[in-house]
Amino acid sequence: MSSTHRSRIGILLNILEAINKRDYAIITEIIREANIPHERLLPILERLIERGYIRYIKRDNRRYYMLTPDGYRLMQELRRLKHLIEDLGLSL
Amino acid sequence: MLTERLMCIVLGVGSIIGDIICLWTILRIFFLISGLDVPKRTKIQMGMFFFSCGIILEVFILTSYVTIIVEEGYASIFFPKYRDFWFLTFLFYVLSALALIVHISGIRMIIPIIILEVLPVVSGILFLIVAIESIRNKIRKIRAWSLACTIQSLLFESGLVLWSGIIWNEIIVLLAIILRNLIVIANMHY
Repeated sequence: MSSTHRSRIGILLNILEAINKRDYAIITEIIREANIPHERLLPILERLIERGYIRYIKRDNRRYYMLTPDGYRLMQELRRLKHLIEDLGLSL
Repeated sequence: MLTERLMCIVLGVGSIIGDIICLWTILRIFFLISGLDVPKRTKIQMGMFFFSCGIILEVFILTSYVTIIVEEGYASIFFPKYRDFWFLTFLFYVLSALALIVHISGIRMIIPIIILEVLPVVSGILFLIVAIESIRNKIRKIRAWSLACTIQSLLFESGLVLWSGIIWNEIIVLLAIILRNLIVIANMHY
């Protein structure tokens, strides 16, 4: 995965896909999968929680993140957008 | 002759409707991309902008063309009740006349004629290069878009070369526009 020159939409899609890859994703897994630093990831996760796209449960002092149905729909829509962008010879 | 003229009106109106849908399809993607911070999107947007400008001019010219046939009295015989439609058609006619005046003013008439003859060939070749490159790089939407424009340019040129006042060549040009619109709408749809 190319980490340079990623658009905000591209980063968002990577985060959602990283969470979707597992039933419950911990923050280090999202950081690794989405290739994004911790300090940059946290505000994005907070915003996604506020808007109801992801939620988390606390277990053993750890946060386990998961997609909500709205988050899943957002991810599908972003994938469609990604295909459109790629079909135009651009990259997200 | 009447049947052929009627066919030109139907194809002309079909081309205008196709042009408007095509314009809507392209501009939708244009504004969608504008809202994203996607790298290198300006070139694609420039292409879409110029293509949209071309389509707008084409709508004016086609409206003018259809109106000329309408003025010959065919459509008013067939559809006398659609006053609102005719009003809009004549409004477009005035706008198209203005666009053509702006286009021709200050230039000798021979220049637009040469441009009209040469431009489809040049643009056809350029679109063909884009089509080959997009096939090589597997860029699906650009491939469909450029192939559609290549086909249209070639048909358009053959229609112009063979023009000589024969009505079937006008039909070739209109069919070329309709074909291009169908391919663009089907492939650029989002």
